[in-house]
Amino acid sequence: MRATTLTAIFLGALAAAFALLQVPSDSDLFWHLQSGEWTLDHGQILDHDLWSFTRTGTPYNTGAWLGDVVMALVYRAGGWVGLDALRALLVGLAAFFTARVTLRVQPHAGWAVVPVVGVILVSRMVWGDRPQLFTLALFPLVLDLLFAARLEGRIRRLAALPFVFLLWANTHNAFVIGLVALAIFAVDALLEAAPPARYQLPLVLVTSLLATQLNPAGAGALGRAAAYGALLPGWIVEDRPLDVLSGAGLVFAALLLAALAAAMLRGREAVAARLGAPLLWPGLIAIFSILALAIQRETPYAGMVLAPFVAAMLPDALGRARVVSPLVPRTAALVAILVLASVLVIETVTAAPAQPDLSAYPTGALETLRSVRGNVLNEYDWGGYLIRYAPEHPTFIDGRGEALFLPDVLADFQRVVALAPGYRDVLKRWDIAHALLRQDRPLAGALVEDGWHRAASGTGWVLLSRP
Amino acid sequence: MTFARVSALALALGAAFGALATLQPVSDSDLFWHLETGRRTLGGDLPRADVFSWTVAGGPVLVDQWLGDLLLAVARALGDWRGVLALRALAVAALVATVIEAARHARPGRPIVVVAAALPAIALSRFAWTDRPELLGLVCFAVLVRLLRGGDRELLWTIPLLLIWSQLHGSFALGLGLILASCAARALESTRDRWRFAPIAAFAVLVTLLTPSGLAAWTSSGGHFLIPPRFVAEEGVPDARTLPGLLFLVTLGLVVATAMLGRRATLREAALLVPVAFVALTAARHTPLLAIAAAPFFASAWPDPLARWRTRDERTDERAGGASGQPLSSLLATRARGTTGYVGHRARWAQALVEGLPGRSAGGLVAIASLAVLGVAIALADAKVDESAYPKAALAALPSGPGVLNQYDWGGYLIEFAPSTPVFIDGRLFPYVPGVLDDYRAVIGAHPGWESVVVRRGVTAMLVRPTDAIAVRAPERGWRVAYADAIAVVLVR
Repeated sequence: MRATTLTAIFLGALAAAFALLQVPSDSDLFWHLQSGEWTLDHGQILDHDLWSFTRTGTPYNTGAWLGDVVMALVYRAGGWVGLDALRALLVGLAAFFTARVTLRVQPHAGWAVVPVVGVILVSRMVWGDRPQLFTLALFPLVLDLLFAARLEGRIRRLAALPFVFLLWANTHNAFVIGLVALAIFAVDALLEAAPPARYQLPLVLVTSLLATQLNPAGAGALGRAAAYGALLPGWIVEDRPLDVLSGAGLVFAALLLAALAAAMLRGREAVAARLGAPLLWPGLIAIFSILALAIQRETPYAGMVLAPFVAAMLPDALGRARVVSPLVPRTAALVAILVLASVLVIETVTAAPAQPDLSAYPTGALETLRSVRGNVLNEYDWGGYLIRYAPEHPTFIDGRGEALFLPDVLADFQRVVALAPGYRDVLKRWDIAHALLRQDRPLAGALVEDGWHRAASGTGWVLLSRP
Repeated sequence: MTFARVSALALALGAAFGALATLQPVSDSDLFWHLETGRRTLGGDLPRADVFSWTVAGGPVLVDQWLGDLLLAVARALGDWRGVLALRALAVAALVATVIEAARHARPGRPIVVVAAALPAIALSRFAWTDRPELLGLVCFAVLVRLLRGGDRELLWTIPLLLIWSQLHGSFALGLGLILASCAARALESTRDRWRFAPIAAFAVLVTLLTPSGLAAWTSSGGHFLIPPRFVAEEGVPDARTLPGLLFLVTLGLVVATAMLGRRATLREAALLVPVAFVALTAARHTPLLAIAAAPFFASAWPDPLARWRTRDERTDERAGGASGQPLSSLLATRARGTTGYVGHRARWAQALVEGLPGRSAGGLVAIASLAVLGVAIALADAKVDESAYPKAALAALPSGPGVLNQYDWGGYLIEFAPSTPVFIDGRLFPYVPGVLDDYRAVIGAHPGWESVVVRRGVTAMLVRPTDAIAVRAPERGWRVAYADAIAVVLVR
């Protein structure tokens, strides 16, 4: 076995080991789980709202039905530890394929590890237990297949791509970024490659595009994903522009600027000589960097594109010679893999969190909520939690925001919690009897001043009831 | 670079964009407190303590932009608001001309490439064509970029530039960083006397301390660069949902693509562009810096769309003149030396346009024409303050003396137009951080406890927008609406 493969496996295991220790706490996890369980219970895909009082019965599609079902199945089989293991598996796969792509162009483990570890750290921003974890794993898989075909001539592997996209389009709606990467490779092939390779990638692009239509929303899934990118919904924190002074932003900026410096100091000729495909790299790096800076949740994918370039070109700019990957005896490699697998299994059994962390949620309000009737105005971030833990009270709004609550319910929510003009009309229109809010919300203060009584309160939250 | 020999293209485009800048009315809120500060400085009283607010009255304030404030005040004193507008037009003209000149220097004889390379800088800097010392800082930055791309003699000129810049605007800190990086890169590139750059670096650091603020000049720069106050729109992260943000991301994409597809750059070029790229990524207000620094890089690397026709034209000229094998610059140099060599008319025209003015008389003509264009534009401009976004009509209902809490964006306006009402807060920001700013945000957002803040601070009236939460909430809590329109609400306790 080549040392590069073993290194990639080691990095994948390392990332999985870290991911395994993360405690489930993502707000959207809860409604994704509920959706999956409903689908399993009813034998049909959930396509209309059941859990809010503002959108009851409205048709919607989050583009993640299969992801929800997989999560629900895993939860049924292994509980919260099962979800920990699923997260670890997908993060591990993401790290493995990122490392494989990087080691493909930089066999020196020392140079390759630094940017790959950087990408793993950046990817933590999308380690929440949601179907987006499937995107985290599938994007570098697609990149790996594409680079194998483009740089090493392994064209046959491209046959797997339509099947990957079929799976992806049903597990998470961010499959579009994979199509973008494939389109860039296809354009590069049209411009640079000689026949028949010139036409194979465009053909795979068309086939993959068709494969993505095989989902419950049909062509609508692609349209919705494209519209999502165009709208850039800035009201969700993870969809806001990337702040390069944040932790993940600094790592991304370091990768981007290292790529820029290396490219400037070496120029096109050296990029072509060292990496091949001189048109491909600027296409991938420029487009995915812009995407990351526009929508911060896309940062890990830009990092996956940047890592191989930085790993290969930075030492090149510093005058370091290229190395060849040594071979590791098969038995030794097998032993190493078994040891890594054993460590992960032991970690899963002994250290993986068996319960979610609910400290950020109004757990103390549940008992009171069960004893009261009437519509509850809830915080956006707590909607998913309430769907799972307080099903007797439909939500005002929850994490299905972009798919279900745009534009009027979201506008009403923003108006009322910020005390914007007309906030009282919102309370009246939706007949709000209780408000479960963060304590620092202007509305919380205003309702208390207006005589709403404090039915329950805890650290950071308050449940107010109309007098 | 010979400063006297600026290309006609740079002069003409500088004048054109300077003239265009006069179409924008005077309206920046921060202008007004800059003006008032400058006016006091002009009167011999450099204000080191606050005299405009009632919340930090008498407290220390920064004087790091004293020269920029002074220039604004002088412009106002000389020509009222038209003077301010003239200063802006001249600054924009200088900025655009310098960017074009830097690009032309990187790629002489290719006007289309030069203009294309400068376009991102012109487009992005457009959002900073405001009446503040910041614009003068951008001009200094553009000049620095040009100087740092030159030889050792040009590097020496950066020291006096930095001395002036550090009196004008806090962005000088970036200039110092780039000079130090350039010195380091030159030392690495040099094969002999590497230490000759050390004194230049030391002088660069030294001159930034020769300001009335001394070391405190770094407070503002450090704050803006390292911990930008994100709630101020221009200090926010570059956002693709805005036009400037989108233009910036496209520019960044072009920088990346050019670096990967272009020729090999020097260490000096990388030492200039890479740090600027990082600074530009940190906040929306810094985004023009990348485009300005990248203009010569683009010009040096981008292909010439007229290359095919240009070659044909040059061949024609060569057949006519028999000066085969010589580049245009050599041909012109020959002509300038008084020989009888023939040069095709198109080449002469192109040379005059982009290579620099061939003679003093022609240079004077273009310079005079450019100044005339600017002068006419300034004379014809509607030189009034655009108060449409300000609470002009509400001023009559505003009580005098301390106690008024005002919208952050209107602080500067009140300093100029309601001097009898000291402000709660204004665009100077740093004197108000953290206490006053936190209290302001608690009240303006009607956050829980806002009434206790009002009592503690002694707020008796508020001048806010109708869409502010406090404008909705305070009347519900018994505050009297003394005035209200679509722009502003005056609330009295």
